[in-house]
Amino acid sequence: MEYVVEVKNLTHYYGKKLVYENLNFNIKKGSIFGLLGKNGTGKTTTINILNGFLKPTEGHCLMFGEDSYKLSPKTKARVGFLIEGHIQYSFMNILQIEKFYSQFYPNWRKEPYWELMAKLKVTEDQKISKMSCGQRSQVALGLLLAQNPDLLILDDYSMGLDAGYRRLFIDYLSEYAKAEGKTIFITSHIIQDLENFLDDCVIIDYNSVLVTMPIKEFQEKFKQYKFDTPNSELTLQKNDVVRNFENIKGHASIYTFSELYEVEEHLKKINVPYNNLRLESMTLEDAFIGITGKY
Amino acid sequence: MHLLELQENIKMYKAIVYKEWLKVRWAYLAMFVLIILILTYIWLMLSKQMEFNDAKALWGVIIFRKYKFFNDIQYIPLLIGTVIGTVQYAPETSQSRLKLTLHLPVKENKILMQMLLTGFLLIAVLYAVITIYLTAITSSYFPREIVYDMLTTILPWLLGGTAAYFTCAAVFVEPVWSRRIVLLIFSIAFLSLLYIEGDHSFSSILLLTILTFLFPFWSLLTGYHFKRGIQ
Repeated sequence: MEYVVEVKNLTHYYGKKLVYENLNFNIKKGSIFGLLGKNGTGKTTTINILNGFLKPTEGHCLMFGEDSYKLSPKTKARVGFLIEGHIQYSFMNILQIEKFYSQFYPNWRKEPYWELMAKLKVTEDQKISKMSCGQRSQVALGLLLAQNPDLLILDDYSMGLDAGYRRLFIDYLSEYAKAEGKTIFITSHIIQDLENFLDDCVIIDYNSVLVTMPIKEFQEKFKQYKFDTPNSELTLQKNDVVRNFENIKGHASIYTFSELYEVEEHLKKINVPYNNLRLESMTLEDAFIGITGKY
Repeated sequence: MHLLELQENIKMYKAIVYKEWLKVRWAYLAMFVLIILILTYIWLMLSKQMEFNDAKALWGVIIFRKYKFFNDIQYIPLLIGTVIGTVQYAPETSQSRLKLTLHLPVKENKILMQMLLTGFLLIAVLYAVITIYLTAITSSYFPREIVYDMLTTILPWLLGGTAAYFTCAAVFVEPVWSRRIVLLIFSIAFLSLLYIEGDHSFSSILLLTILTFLFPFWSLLTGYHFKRGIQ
């Protein structure tokens, strides 16, 4: 198996504050990998480590076999990088920025960039600083596609974007990158758009790694069981069976990787009064909220 | 180095120059206009003095009382270095935009040095304009010795502007505030040496020049701090 990115035993602290420990994952060539987590769980930290902008406390990352701490210019040319918030050189206009970047990348193809700019209906001398967040996202995406990299690293592409621009972003990624077998590493805290887009994922929470698996496997194995209970104050400890628990006025939900009979056995074992225990279908977003919790 | 690789490197450096120019161009033009106005004012004032006073008496005042007819330009190189450094580096470091630059397929130290070299060459052109204009004014009225005195007087000012530019670059790139403050205190102390009244000897000017051109290494260090996310 050829891996484009290998993350091994990654642990990071900011001072004494633990971000996460022992994060491990590999990104297969041509796959779309999502690093998912709520705000502040360490997604951007991981991206910064991956791009060599942060030295991890422990562990290491390899990108195309090179230590991310000291990437060669050749490897950097193979990596397209979207900074959180679609940050670009805002003092340039859309013509200047295309002219600037095109000088650095041998595989530069300007067509997708100008195709996206045509959709924005902006003039060539439109300064990026005068654009809306949605328009800036299209400039950043157009530049990435024009760079034509083998690996795209997209840090919270959804930040500040309304539903239309988020969809447009994913559609273009699918059209240009997925169709051409590019590897994509994407982080997001908005999950709904990624449902049919991701191949593999890691879900991280504050200080911990919750899930590392193919997205289809996660959707198949992670379940929500609902039941009614007379105890409206019921709380359950998290363990191997109960990955998360909610109880709103006696309407309870268990989020779990276990089967129905295992959940039933567990409830009986801890003497929880329940009735109408049933499997509830979930979208990817429901499953994400289920495993990370609402708070 | 292969010819193709050299061509690629030149192409990339030209792109860096283009980016830096886009950031500084309006401030740069403003600085250019400012120095032309001030130098022209100095020239007009001097020609007026020469017209209404005895030229020999004025020479005497310049030689014995150390009168500097070009004193109005004293802090202009400092202003140029600070303004150009700020408009060049502030947009890079706001919202960590420098990450975009450091992600370009060029070695990080090389690209930081290219940015610094571009800014330095730009301010050097303005300093050359000041020097040539003042030399032309001075030599049109005074003998070679006074021209030499003028040049040795303005050289520390030009070094001060250069050091201020390098300081701005280092301070903006440095991610840690406490280090920024230390850097600023050190730079202000160094600048005050350059602005001490009185004659600088050849050896002191040489030493100050060497020290000024050690400042870029500080930029490399702050660039390293930025790159490694040191907090």
